[in-house]
Amino acid sequence: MRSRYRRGTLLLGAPFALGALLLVVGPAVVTAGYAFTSYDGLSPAEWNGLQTFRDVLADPELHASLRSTGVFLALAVPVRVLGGLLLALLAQSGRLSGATRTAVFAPAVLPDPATALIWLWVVNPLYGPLGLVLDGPVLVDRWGARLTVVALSVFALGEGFLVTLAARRELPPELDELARVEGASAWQRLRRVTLPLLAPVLLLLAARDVLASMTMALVPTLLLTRGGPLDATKTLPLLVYERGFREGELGEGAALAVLTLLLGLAAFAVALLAVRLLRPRH
Amino acid sequence: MTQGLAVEQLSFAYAAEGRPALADVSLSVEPGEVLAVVGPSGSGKSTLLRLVAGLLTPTSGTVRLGGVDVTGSSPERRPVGMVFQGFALFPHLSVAANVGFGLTVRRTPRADRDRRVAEVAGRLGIGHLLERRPGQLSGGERQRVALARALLREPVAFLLDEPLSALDPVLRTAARRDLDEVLRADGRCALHVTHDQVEAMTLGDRVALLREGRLEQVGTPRELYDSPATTYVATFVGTHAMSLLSPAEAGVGVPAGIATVGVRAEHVTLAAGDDAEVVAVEDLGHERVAELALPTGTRLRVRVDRDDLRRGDRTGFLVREHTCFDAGGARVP
Repeated sequence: MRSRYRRGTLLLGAPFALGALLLVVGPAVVTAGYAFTSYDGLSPAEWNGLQTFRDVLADPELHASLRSTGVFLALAVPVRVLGGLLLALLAQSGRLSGATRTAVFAPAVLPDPATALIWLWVVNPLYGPLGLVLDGPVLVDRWGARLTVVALSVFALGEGFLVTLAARRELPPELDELARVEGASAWQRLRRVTLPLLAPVLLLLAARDVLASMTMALVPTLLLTRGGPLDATKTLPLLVYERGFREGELGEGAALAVLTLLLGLAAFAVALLAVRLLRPRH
Repeated sequence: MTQGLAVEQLSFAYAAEGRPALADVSLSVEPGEVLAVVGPSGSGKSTLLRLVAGLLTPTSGTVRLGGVDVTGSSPERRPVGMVFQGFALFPHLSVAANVGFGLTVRRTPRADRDRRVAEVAGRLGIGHLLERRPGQLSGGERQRVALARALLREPVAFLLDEPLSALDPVLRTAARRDLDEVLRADGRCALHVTHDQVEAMTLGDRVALLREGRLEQVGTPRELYDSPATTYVATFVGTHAMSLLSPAEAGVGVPAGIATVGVRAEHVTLAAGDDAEVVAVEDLGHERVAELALPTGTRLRVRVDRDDLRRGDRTGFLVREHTCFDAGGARVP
């Protein structure tokens, strides 16, 4: 019975596994291989050992990019997770109409390039609403450009909002009543009951958000700022793209991609560890 | 005026609903007494408890605790200890932090808090569990922790919101005994809400039956069983619901104005005859109860001693005792 069940599972999973193998795992392995070569896509790849990694690690452009990515993650992830939390708490207490909830979630279904184009209009110094209010070009300023990219990505908090709301609804209502009977103020109930109980979900969301941000950081920086000004918004995925495809340094691009992946996984692992430490022990 | 708990003409309506959840309910619980509040879901029993706790504010009426009007007070200013369904505890806090939660949020000095937590934990025999998390406790231990938390406030009244309903039957009996012991100590009183009439009858010194937000009857379990105020009480209380028949069906002579007679299973004797058909026989071990279908279709439950009664048999019966109700369902003495 059990083995039949397992065989069925394998059979059902096979097409997906095959697709993943051919389209994700395979190319990823090949890419990782290129990271140890010098390769421009035209002449044959030459084995380079760790030299490619040494080159990119010494590259000031990588350092600038790590800074940009760090700034982006440090601002975008907390704002998105906490924004989703705030909206979920408002929705739970019935202070968010159905229309508002839809509006919160709507940008999550908009394709990234479309969002980028909307923002290109928003910050346009001649006719964009934000550009007019700020009275000047936003994207030529380092922090102006960075904050614009962050602001743009914050509108994708719909998913985190839904997950947080679902988690909040799962909390037993007695616990809130219990805290009220014991004299806890609204703030104390939030800090001592709701937040600790939601913490594992929030951390998991943050971990997922770090990984998602790595990909999310490509389109707006590519279409909106092209990494500028002065590499202030040149995030890691954008650097990978430029190095590999625009400059044709596929070997270095691959090495940067491997580094990006490792960094993302490290961030994810740290967040998972935090979730495990914070979960109530049984 | 009682030094325990009293509510007078208490009414409450949820904004979204037209019908009041609670209408004109007056009750009192004396010190040392347990009042069980029973009714089906939607009868207003949880609403009543939340009004006493201060989690809801009544549309009209008053709540008194220890002789003091607390109708306008916030929950933490009321001398009540509340125990929730399934003995709810904060899963992320230690037993000590759960018991001392109220002191923590009210910023009681740490030394004072630790002392009071240790003292109440000692009284309930959970001193060795203070460092544990709720997830590591057995059902009985959870109950003691929840009670310790409620007791720490030195309440005038315990408010129990179906605490036993989530426990399995074996644990329930033991938990019920423990609960009873703690509740009656020190002359505190308790309002115990439950949907289980057996629980209400065993745990309550008196039982209040709610129906659609109105008080149907308050009295000792015996009073509710022997002299139900209405046909509703008659069918709600007791392992076997009272059978309701017309006087003619029951074959009893009644004064004018009696529309219905209620008959307990133990007040019927089988007799020679063939007017009724046996449609079911339930053997509970210590007793056997048969359900008879009368020619009119009405069902009558009968306690029987014979063990040769089978489904499909025909028999006569004799009603020895009955309770009279008028057309509105109210008992006529």
